[in-house]
Amino acid sequence: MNAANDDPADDIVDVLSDYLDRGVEPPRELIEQSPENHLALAALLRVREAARSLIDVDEGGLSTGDEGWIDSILTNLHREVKAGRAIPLTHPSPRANLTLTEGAVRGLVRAAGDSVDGVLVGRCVLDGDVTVAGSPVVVRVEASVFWGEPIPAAAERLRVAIAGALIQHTELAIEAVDVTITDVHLRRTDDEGQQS
Amino acid sequence: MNDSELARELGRLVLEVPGVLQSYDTRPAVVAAVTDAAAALLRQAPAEPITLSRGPEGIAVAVKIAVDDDRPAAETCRDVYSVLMDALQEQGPPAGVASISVEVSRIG
Repeated sequence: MNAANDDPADDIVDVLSDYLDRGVEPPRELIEQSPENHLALAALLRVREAARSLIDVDEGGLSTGDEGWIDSILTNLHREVKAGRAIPLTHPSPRANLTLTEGAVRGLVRAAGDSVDGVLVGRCVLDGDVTVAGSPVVVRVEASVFWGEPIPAAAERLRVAIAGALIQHTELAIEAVDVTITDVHLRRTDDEGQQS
Repeated sequence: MNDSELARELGRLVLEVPGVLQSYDTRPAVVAAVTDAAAALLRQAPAEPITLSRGPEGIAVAVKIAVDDDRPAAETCRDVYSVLMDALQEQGPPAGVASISVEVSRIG
C-alpha cells in the first residue's frame, strides 16, 4: 500500500483483500463508491474462488505455492481497474460525448474470460489508440488453464468469449484477440481442498 | 427549478433507464469526500452525482454510470443521452444544451 499516493485505485485491491482475508464482506458503501472498487471486488472474488481449487504444476512436479501467480494477478488488477483512457461511442449529435472507460472494458474482458470453464485471466491489455473511433485495437490477454484442458481449445474458447463481449458492448475496431497461456494448474480434489 | 433540483431530477431519470445499475459521483474522489464531509457538518445534502454547468453555449451535463451486461452498453449509453436531452429540452433552458457527457464506467 502506498500511503503517499492519493489515487484510491492504488490500494483498493489491498483494502478489499484485507476484508476478504478476515472473512468480512466489504461495506456496500465502499463498493458502490466507485466503479474501480466494484471491478476490483468482482475480480478478487473470482481469483480467490479459483485459487481455492488449484494446485500449481511446475517443472518439479506439483506444489501448492499459488502465491506468486496470485500476486501477479493482483498486481495487474491494480492497473486494470483504473478508469484509464476514454473510449468513444458514436452518436449523430455533436452535443453528445458518449464514452466507455478503458477500465470498464478491461473489466468486461476479464469477466468474460473468467466465465470460461477451466480458464482464469491473469492480464489484459488494450493495445492501440482506443481514444480514436475506428482505430485498430489488439486485445492481449494472458491466462491460466487447468491441467488436462487442451490448451489450443481453451485458448480458442477464451478468444471467442472475449470477442463476443467486446462486439456486444463496444464499438472498438478489434483487429485480433491474442491469447497467451502462461500457467497450468491442477484442480484440487475434495480431499486435498479439505487438507489445505 | 434551480440547478440542484434539476440535477436531482436528471439523476432520477438516469436511474430509470433500462440497463442502468447506478450512477457515480463525477467529481474526483478526494474532492467529493472533502466536499460531502463539509456538507454533512453544515447539515446540507450531499451533491448529486450529475454535474451541471452553465456557459455561453448553454447547459452542460455530465454523468457517470454502471450498466448491466444484458443489453449492449452502447445502447444503454445512448438511451441515457436521449433521456437527458428530452428532459433538458422540456425545461426549455434559455441558452439551450451545450453538451451531454455520459461515461460508462462499469459493465455488469
